Amino acid sequence: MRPALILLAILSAACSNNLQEQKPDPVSPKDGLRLVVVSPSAAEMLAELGMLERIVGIGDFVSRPPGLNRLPRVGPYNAPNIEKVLDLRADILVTVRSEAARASNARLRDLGVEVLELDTSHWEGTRQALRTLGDRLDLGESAGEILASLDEAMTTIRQRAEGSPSPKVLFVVGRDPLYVAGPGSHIDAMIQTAGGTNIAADSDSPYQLVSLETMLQRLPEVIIDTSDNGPDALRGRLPGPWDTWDFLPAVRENRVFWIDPDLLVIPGIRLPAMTERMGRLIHPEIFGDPVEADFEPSPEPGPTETTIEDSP
Amino acid sequence: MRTARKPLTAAGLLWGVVILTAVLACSILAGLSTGGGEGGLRELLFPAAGDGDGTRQILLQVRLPRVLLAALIGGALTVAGAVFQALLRNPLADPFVLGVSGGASIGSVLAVLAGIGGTGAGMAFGLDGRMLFAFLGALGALILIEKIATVDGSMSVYTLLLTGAIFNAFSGALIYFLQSIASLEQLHDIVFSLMGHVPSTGFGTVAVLAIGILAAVLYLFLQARDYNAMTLGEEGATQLGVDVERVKRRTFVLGSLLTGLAVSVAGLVGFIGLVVPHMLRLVLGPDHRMLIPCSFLGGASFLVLADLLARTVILPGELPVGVITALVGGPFFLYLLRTRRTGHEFR
Repeated sequence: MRPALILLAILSAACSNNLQEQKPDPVSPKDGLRLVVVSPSAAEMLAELGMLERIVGIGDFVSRPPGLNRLPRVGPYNAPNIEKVLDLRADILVTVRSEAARASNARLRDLGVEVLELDTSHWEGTRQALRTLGDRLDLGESAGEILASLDEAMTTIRQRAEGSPSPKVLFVVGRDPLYVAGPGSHIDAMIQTAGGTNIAADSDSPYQLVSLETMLQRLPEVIIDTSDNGPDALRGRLPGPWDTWDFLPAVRENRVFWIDPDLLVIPGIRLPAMTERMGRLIHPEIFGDPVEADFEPSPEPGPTETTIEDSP
Repeated sequence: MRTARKPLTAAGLLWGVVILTAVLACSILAGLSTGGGEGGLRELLFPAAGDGDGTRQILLQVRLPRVLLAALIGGALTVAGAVFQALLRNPLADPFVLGVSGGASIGSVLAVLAGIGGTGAGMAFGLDGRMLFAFLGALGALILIEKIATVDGSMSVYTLLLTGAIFNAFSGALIYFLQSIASLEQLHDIVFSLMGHVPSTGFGTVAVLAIGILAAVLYLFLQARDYNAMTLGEEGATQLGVDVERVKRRTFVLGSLLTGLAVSVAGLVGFIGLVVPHMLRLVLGPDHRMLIPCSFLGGASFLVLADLLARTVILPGELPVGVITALVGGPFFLYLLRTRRTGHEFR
């Protein structure tokens, strides 16, 4: 699941720099509105908006909230199965912008399914996506309240980190070859907000294959590695294979963190919580030491992990 | 190639090898001089006290093994191309074009699916399960393609090339299928395992590859006279006392080994086995005693320089080296198609 989610984050960032909000059908939502959601971050937003019971199908990459996993799947966001979406009698398909899915989304529109394409690859896009969903589902007030609390959380994190030294951070998405988060990614924004400096900030794209030599030469002080996805994946605060480079400040000072990508790589409504987690990795003196749940998802549902049964 | 050439002498062979060794040495020096890091040859040869910023360590442990690996992979793919061209008597034969690389890719993906490939998994003494699977995939593909292309005991070159093209399409589809059924944990490894990219591995992997590749190249070099005879056709070679079937069999196995080893480490690096042997044949003539060692040296130089471009042209980003080789090789392939229409000018 996770590598695909990483690819999703990469692709959504690559293809969605300019949010082009779809013009919604002016028909008001009504009871019985059936939603199919193929965007993981949109699924979390719908949960926050209390709309879980309206979801009748999900995309292959959707895994949160866990209660959704029992619903039928309609394929990945970039190739939704049109027949399945129609079979579920969906009124709205909630997805992320994807060039690959352009034809299938257009076909779905022709066949009467409203397609809401969201851009959740960065914080402003996520805010806009939440507003779009709120407006479309007649939940503008709830969306506004959620946004206000999220904005406040982000502002607080930024203020707490302000004025502190800015450690050099290397955020690893893939290690062999080296794939990192660059400018325009939500990860880059989180690093900055949490008071760090992304050493790949001069890359050309949000996610890029980069020179290992260059990254090593920039002497990162914190390495956050989300590349290990196997069954026995490294998790926690340990150098792992990075101990080859014992001259790196991050290795010498034991500041290499192996993290489940689901905790940091998937953008969306969890950004404030993710940014605070980033803060614990970069500035423990401000945000406190990282805890176990910062490395591996807790088996228990978190604040945004309500099940369908729990939702209003 | 149409002009009469003097027979190859020991001195001629020596000169050719010496010159191309010098070219390779210059390429390696260029590869070591420049990269993503700031250090170069000076830091490598004259270590400063302390090396607190790790410059020399980066050069020794990232750049040096990568340059050596590029040389080995380039040499392996080029020699594979040269001997396939000798066997099939067609300059368009190349592991990539013939579909052998596609077979190796299938093997590599299957290794990831079996849990013995990918980043770190299955590694022992620098060996990766992908190497074995890629070799078996390459060998299986070549045997299959050769069987299909052989009709009534003779192998039409055009049928063979066409079969290779179709097998490439088939292997592409099969890889898409395998990606579809792969667990999502494996998808990431599959995508990166197929990318034409020279990795920075440890010296263990470099040593294992060096042993395998150099041994295969040496054995193929020892068959150089047989390849020369086979330019007369299988019948002609048989009349000269060559055991054609044995030469074919060994060439298939060793060419597949070379391709499989290269693909298992660097993914799909196309066209290098096509471009370099052909250029060398134009310059040095068709004698395989000269062509095989020079192909290794020339291919090694070519990929070292291509990889140098790939890792420096968009710093701090990198390009997959397969992009560079394809940009050079694609147009060259079309040039060959336009100028070598009969396919019988392999002399």
